[in-house]
Amino acid sequence: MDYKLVKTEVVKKGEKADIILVDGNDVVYFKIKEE
Amino acid sequence: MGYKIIPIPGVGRPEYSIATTIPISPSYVAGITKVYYTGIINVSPESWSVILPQDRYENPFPRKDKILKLETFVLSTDADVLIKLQCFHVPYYYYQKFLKGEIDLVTLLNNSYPFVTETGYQRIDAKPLLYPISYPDLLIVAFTNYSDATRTMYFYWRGEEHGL
Repeated sequence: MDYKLVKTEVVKKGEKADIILVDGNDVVYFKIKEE
Repeated sequence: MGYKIIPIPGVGRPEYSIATTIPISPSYVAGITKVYYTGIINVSPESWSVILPQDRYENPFPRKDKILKLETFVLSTDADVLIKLQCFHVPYYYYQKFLKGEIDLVTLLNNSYPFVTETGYQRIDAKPLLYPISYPDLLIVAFTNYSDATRTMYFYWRGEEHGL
């Protein structure tokens, strides 16, 4: 089976995000980097 | 329920009917951070995707001098097809080797502890029961799509980070 390690980068609030992290009181938005 | 009962002093049996409107926050032990990580990912047919959850500063979980206790992990997809969820407790020693390029991803995961391995159709709801991972070890998760089409997968995990 094929596999890949997904890479992410932080984006600003309001931009399209694929992943959201709620870290205590901090909310972080991530985008998955396309290879 | 968000109410605080305030007994009136000096009148015998407390008057429990009196309540404030001040909301009471749920109590947490000092030093514990709640962590929620949720997202959407497209997984190619008959393949698996691996995610290394990181914080704003690209630190993996748990962060320095912390223990991550994973409470819940839900993975679902857009069709009634077979999927697999794996959560790996990755030893720091092998992660360093991976970062240096001495081993590949498969070798890294083969030397890690899959404390969650669940297979199911369309939705997996795993309860790792606060499985602890201590710094400098870290968490890696993998999603497998056994179907012959690309699937959108929705994932969500919740945990607590405690001080060592």
